[in-house]
Amino acid sequence: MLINFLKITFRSLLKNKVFVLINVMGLGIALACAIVAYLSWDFNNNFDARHVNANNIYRINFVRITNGLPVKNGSCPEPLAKAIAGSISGIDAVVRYYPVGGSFKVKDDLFRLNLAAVDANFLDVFTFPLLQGNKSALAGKGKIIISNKIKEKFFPDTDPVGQLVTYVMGDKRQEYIVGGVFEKMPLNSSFYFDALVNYDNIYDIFGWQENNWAEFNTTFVTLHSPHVFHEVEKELQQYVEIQNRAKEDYKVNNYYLDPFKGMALRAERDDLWNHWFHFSVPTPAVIAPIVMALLLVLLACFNFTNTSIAIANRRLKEIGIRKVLGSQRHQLVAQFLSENMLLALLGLIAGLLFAEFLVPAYNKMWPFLDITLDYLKNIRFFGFLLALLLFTGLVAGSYPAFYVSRFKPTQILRGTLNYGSTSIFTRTLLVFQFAISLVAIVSGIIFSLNANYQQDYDMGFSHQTGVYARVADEDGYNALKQALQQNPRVLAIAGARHNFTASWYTDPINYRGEELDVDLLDIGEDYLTATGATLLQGRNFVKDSQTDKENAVIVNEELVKTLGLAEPVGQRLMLRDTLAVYIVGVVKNIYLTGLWQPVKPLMLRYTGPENYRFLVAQTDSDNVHAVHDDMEAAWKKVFPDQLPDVGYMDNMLVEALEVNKNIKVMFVFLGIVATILSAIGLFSLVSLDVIKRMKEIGVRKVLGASVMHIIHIINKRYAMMLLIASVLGTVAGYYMAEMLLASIWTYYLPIGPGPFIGAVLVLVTIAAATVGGKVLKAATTNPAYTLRDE
Amino acid sequence: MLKIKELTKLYTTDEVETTALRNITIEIRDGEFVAIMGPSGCGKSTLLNILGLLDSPTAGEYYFGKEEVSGFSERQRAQLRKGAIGFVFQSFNLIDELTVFENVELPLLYLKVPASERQQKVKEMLERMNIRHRRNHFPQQLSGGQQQRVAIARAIIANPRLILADEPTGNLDSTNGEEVMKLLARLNEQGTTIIMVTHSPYDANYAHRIINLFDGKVVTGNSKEQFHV
Repeated sequence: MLINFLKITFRSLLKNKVFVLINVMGLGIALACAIVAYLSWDFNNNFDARHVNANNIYRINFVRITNGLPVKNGSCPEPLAKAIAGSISGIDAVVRYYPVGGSFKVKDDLFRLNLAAVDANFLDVFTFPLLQGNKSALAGKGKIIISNKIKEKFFPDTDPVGQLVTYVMGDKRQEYIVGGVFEKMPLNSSFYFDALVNYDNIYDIFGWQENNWAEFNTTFVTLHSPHVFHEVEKELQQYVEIQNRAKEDYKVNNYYLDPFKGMALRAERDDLWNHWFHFSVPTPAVIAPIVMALLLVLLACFNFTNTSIAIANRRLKEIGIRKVLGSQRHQLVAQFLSENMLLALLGLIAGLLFAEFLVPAYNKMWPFLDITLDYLKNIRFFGFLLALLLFTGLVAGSYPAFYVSRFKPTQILRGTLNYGSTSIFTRTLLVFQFAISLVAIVSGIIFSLNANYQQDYDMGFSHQTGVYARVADEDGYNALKQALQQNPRVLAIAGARHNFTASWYTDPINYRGEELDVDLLDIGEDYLTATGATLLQGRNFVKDSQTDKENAVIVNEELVKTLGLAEPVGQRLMLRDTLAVYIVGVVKNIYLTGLWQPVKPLMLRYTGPENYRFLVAQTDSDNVHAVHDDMEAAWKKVFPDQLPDVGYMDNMLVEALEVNKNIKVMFVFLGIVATILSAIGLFSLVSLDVIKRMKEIGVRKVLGASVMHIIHIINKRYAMMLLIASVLGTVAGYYMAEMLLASIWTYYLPIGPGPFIGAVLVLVTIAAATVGGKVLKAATTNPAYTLRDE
Repeated sequence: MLKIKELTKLYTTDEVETTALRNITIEIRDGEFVAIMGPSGCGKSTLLNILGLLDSPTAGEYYFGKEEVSGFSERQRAQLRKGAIGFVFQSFNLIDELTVFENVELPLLYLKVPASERQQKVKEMLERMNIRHRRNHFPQQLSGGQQQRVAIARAIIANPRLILADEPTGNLDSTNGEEVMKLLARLNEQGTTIIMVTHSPYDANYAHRIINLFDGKVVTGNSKEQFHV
C-alpha cells in the first residue's frame, strides 16, 4: 500500500511540477529564515552556557535610588570581596574581576589587548580550559595567561610559556611572564578578555589604595547551596552603611545577588549601569528574524494549503475510486497528509540549501553574532528541524487532507460535486497572505525612511565632521596639537577631559531640595566651538578663569526642562551636596548615546589643559577621513610606542546606521518574498475560480454581457479581499513598525500615512498584474468553446 | 442475495426536497443478471449507489445477504464493499496516475492480499481480459474498449459476489460495447450476480430480467420472468 501511495505521490507531483517547484521554493525560503531565527535564538540563549558552575555563580550588584527610582548597578565596592570572604558562611568562593584594557608590547610590536585582573581562583569558578601551562600562574602578580588567539599572534611558532610580554598603559610599563594559554571563549560569552593577570596588579596599574570603598570592581561569589541565597543577600546588607559613609554623595540602597546565568540577557533587557561585560545579542537581532520567519512560514504554509486544495480537484476521481474500492477515510487522510509531509520535507531540504547562504549572510550583518550551519554541533538543531518539518507538514497539509477526503464518491463520480475552490477558508488564508505581505512592505518602507531620517538627525553637535584622539595627559595633548596645527584641513582644535562620544561621568546635583543625577563632562574653553555645539543662552567659559573652573557650569536644555527653570542663567545648583555651582550658559541637547536612549540632563564644567585627555578636531565633510588619517599619522610620529587611539565623532551614529541598514535589508527581503508568495497564491486561486466559472462566463456572454462586465464580476470578490487585507495589513504594519522602532530607538521617524499608501499601491499593482492576464483571457474567450462540452 | 423493502431516498437542500426513490421493494437472487432501465432522472443511479453501499437510504430496509445494512456507518459500508462488490462505470474511472497493472491491483491492496499473491492474481486477470501486453501503460494510452476491460478486471479481481455496472457500454462504440456485454454475460454464467443500469434495450437483452423505474418508482418488473412486487 505504501509503495502504491508513493508511486501515485511521485506521479502526481511530476504532473504538477510548477506547483511543486513554487511551493517547495517558497517553503524553502521560509524555512531557511526559520533556521536563521533558530540559530540566532540558540546562540543568544546559550550565552555563557559553557561554564560548568554557571548555575551557582552570582554577581554582587547594588541598587541606588536616583530621582526616586531604583537604578541597578553591576559593579560592587572594591573592598567588599575581602570583607565577605570567610565572614558570610553561605558563600564558598569570592572572585574579583576588573577589566583593565591596555596595550602589549612583544619585541618591537604593539598590540591592543583586553587584559583583565582576576583572583587566583577565577579559573576554578569559571570554565576556561587551559591548553598550556597551569592555573597556579594566577597566584602571583608576575605571570599572565593569554588566549590561544593571542598566542597565535604573538608567538606563532614558539612555545609561549616562559616568554616575556610588556604591558603598556600610558607611560606605565609592566613586564609579565606567560604562564599559560587558555582557549578563547566564543562570542556568546559575557567575558571578552584576551589575557588574565592576578587581581592585585590593579593596585599598581591604577595606583589604588586597598580598602577604599570609593573604588568599584565586579565581584562574583559561589554559594554553598541554593537555599542560602536569601540569607546571603540579607547578610550583604550590613555593608551598606560602611559604603555610604565612604562615599556620601553616592549612596547604595541595597545589595543583591545577580545570577551569572542569564546575566547578559538581563543586562541587555533591563537598564543596568556599569555592566562591564558583553551584553547578549540585541533584542531586535533576535526578535526580527523570529517574527520574519514566523510570517514567512505561515505565508508559505497558506500558499501550500491553497494550491494543494486547488490542484486536488484534478485528483477527485482518484479519491472517489479509492473510496468505492473500499478505502476508509482515515486511509485517504493519511495518504494526503504523508504527501504533504513529503513536500514539506522537500521544502526543508531546499531550506537547508538556502540556509547555506542565508546563515553566513545574516551572521555577517551583525558583528556580535557567530552562527554557523553546523549539523554536528548540537542535537537540539535536529530536534528543531524535525519539529519544523512536522509543523509545516501539519499546518500546510491538514486542511487539504481532511477537506478532500470528505467528499462522497457518488458525487465525485457522477460529476455533481460542487468543488468549492474559493471556500471562505481559502479566501481567509489569501486575505492573511496579503495582510502579511503588506506588513512586510510597510515595514521595509518605514525602515528605509527612518534610516534617512536618523542620518540627518540633529545630534546637537557637528558629529559628521569631527575627529578625536584620546591622549595620555597635557604633554600628549600639546604634542599632538603641535603636529596638527599646521594642517590646512583642520579647521579647529580643542581639548577636554571628557568627550561627547566616548566618555563622561555621572554625579548627583541638588536644586532647592530636588535631587537629580546628571551626566558631566569637563571641557576646555574651545571645546564647544570646535565640536560645533550650539550655545542657546548665556556664555561660554572664559579662558583661564579660576571662578569658571570652580563654580561655572553650562547645562543642556533637558536639565533646564527637568528642573523647570524659567531663567536658567544665574541659577545656583549644589553639586555632590558640597559644591555650589552657577549656570552660565545653556546648550542645545547633545545626544551622547546616539538615538538609542533618551537625552539625560547634562552639565559641562570648565577644566584647564592639565586635565586634557581628549583632543578634538573639526574639519568639513570632504576631509573628515583625510583628517582622521592625518591624525593617526601624526600620532605615530609623536607617540611611536603607543597604538593610535583615534576615532570619528559620529561613531554612535555609525552603529545606528548599520542597524537601520540591516533591518531594512531584512524587511525588503521579507517584503519581496512575501509578495511573490501571495501573488502565486492569488494566481492559483483566480485560475481555479476562472476554470470553475467558465460556463457561467459563457452563459453570461451569450446573454449579452460585455467583456468589462465579466472582468468586473470576476474581480469584485478579489477587490473585496484586497480591501480587507489592506486594512488589516496597514493596521498590523503600523503597530509592528512602531513597536520595532520603539524597541530599538528612543528618537525615530514619526510615522505618517505615506508608507501605507505606498505599500497598498505596490500590492494592488502586483495583484492586478498577477491576475490581469488570466481574467482578461477568460472574459474574451468565445462562449461557443466553453459551452460546447455540455 | 439482496433484498430492499419500502426503500425511500430523499435529497434535501436548503430550499427543496427531492424524492429520488419512493417505497421501492426489490429482491435480487444469487446468480441473477438484472438490468435497470428508465428515463434520465428516474432514480436508476441512486438505486445503484444504495445497492452498492456508496450511499444510504433515507427510509426502508436493505438486506445484503442476511445482514440489515441500511443503518451502517460509512466505515462499515466501506468494509463490506471492498470484498463483496465490484463496480463498473460508464466513464471507466481508472486512476490516471496508475498503470493498468496498478489499477487492477488496487482492490487487493485494500484487502491486504500479500504481494506475491497479488502479482499472480493480477497477471492471471490481465491474461484473461487479454490486455496483458498493456500492463505498464497508463489509462490514457488505451482505447475506450481496453479501458473498460481494465475497469472490469479491477471490478472482479477480488472475486466479488455482486457486480454493479452503471451504463458500462455508454462510452463505447458498438463493437467494443458488445465485447463488454459478452464479458459480463460470461461472468454471470460463472456465478456472479450482476446489476446493470442501461439505456440500451439491446444491452438489456443480456439480462434475465428488467426493472423499469419511473419517477422513483418501479413500474414494471418483468420482461423474461415473473416479478413480484
